[in-house]
Amino acid sequence: MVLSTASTDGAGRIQAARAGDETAFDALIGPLIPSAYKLAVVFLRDRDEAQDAVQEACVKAWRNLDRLRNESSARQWFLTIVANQCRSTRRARWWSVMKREWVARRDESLDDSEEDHIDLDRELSRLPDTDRAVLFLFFYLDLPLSDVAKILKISPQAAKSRVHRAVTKLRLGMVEVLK
Amino acid sequence: MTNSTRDRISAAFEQELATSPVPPGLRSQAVRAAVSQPHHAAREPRPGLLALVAVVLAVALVATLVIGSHVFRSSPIPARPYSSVPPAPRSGASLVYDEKRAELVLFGGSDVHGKVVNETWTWDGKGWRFERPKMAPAPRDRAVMAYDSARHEVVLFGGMAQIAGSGKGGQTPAVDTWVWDGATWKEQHPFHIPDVGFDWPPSMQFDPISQTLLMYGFTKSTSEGFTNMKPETWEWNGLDWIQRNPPSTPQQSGKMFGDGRHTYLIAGGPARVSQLWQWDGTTWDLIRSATGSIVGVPSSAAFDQSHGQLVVLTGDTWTWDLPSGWVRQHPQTQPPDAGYMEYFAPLQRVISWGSLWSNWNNDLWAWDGSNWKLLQAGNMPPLPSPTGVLGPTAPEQAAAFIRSTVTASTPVLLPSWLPAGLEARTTATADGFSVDYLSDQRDKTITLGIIVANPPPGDDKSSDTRVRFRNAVASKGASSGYAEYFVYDASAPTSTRWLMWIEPGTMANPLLKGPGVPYFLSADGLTDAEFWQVANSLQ
Repeated sequence: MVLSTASTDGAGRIQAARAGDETAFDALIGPLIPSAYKLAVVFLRDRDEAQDAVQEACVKAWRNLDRLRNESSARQWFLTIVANQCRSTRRARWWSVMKREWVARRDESLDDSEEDHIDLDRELSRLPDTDRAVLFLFFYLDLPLSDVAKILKISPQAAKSRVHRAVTKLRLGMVEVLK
Repeated sequence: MTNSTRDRISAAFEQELATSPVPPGLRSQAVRAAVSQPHHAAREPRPGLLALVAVVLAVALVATLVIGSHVFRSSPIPARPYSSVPPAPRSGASLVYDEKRAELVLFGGSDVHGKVVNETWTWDGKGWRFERPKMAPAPRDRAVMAYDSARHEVVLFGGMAQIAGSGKGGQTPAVDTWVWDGATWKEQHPFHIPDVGFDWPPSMQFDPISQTLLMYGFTKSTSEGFTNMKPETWEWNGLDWIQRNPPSTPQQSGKMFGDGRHTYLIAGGPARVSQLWQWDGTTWDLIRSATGSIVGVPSSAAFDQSHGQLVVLTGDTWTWDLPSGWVRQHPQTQPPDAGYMEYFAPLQRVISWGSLWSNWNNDLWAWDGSNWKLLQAGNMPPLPSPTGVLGPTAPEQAAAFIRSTVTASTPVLLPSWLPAGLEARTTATADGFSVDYLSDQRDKTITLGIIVANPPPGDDKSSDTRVRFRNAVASKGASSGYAEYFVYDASAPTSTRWLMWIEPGTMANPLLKGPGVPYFLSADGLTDAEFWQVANSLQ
């Protein structure tokens, strides 16, 4: 039986999606796609690979809906699948070199605040992917450390220390640039 | 942690992500593609059905035992049954040809759900069997596996093992050694353990000179950038791993193969360079180095003993032998992906099964020296066709497709001059496009697009300059009126080179709105003059 999703709550949506209702699945996962795509871009640094990773993650989410307990954990659940997919993608492209950002360069027309911003961009792009992911989830998506830990499959303590370590690296990097 | 830190890091991500906006159709495309797949829950049999199946199986078992005890009392052991379905698609698995038993052996990998498995499957030319060994290595992917012709057994080493609670993502590098004797796996207990990691996959091959299995790999990476890994060569003599210290050694990851007399390794890298190395029992000898058409290491490759050639799948089919070098073949049909490849002696064919990188293919193909034939179709439904993708076509068709699709960004620049004989592969949306122009032998490639993937960094041979180009808008990379021009190896006449600039114009996408439209033009195999002829013909 395919349930109508027009007025269902979270549990109803999950149930309907499990029963094969595309609208319910879209209502459940669709709003998470932008965050998922951004996470994949941060992880993979490649738009095409990020797009593929999100699509693959969607298929896996669809096939594993029975593991989703409630809608409130859908974001963390789906982003975990995306992070896993990104790891697989990254493993699969072992032959490729790391792609670089179009590194910002000093421009006479920029004022100090813009320069500072560019330095941070550059330092952020130099961080390892795992550090970038933890910063993105914690600062950009504003997720609690407990969710960051679940998504990256590390302990909350490890998530906390990784955030601190990444922030420290950023600051050190910027000091080195200023020297 | 101050709010200022949060704001600054968020703003930096915002800035970075502005160049990679969420594709407008991604949500509907991803959701539709997902729901078109079989539903996991829906496929689970109901409890009642399970009970019925159990009863039927029990009756069948009793009947078989009773009848069998009378009718087949003096018969030989019946052949093991074939599986009704092929192995599910998997990435990171290991496949090898078991000469003694004339079977392919498939082990491990990650299935479509991302679950790492330790399944063993065999294929004898007629069908797949799901093996049920008493012992087996722990679930893992990326294990290295080869047939030991001296001891007539399959040897497996390491991989990324799935061990609960250990390592990132529950996977940790394994260093155990196992042999497959056709019935079960037996763990070996060598005195020495190779120090190779699996960030760059090792390769293993029987060496007829030393009558050992030769393994070439790299030490484990201790940095995210994979910059501190050293090449290592090890031998397996049936009892122990012995490290060799050859005076010369390849420095890039490689794929080993043998022609029955010698052991070779094709090494590569990110540049279009192939190096052929030969093991002489003591050291690696570089016997050929050439700029070729295969990028990096051919992971999907097998030596075709019938034709004396290495066969490689990259999406295209390539063959390689010493007199001819790389030759792109033009079969009527071919596997869609780089698969797990082995030479299968009973059929005198190279076999390719599944896909190395995707979890969506379990077809089995055979190469006869000029064509691929689908021997056994898998059981996966076809993936939905991607939208906004065209090719290969003639450049003129690509141009028409791009101009009709890219409606939210202007100007759309395309070359009015290209080297002769190129085909085009195109991806386009309303906001931007990327088109690859490729020569038949892939020795000339040109990529042009609005916002394409960032190029890899150069090295001390690279040249990075600013050149006057069109009416370029000032950018982070160059001042007004200038483009950034990068040549990877300034000493090589046809080295990879690229040009990046901001074209005066507009983009409707609010996330990309800025001063102008970012363009990127790159080429491999073109001279400087040819490259600028293409660049200056953009209109």
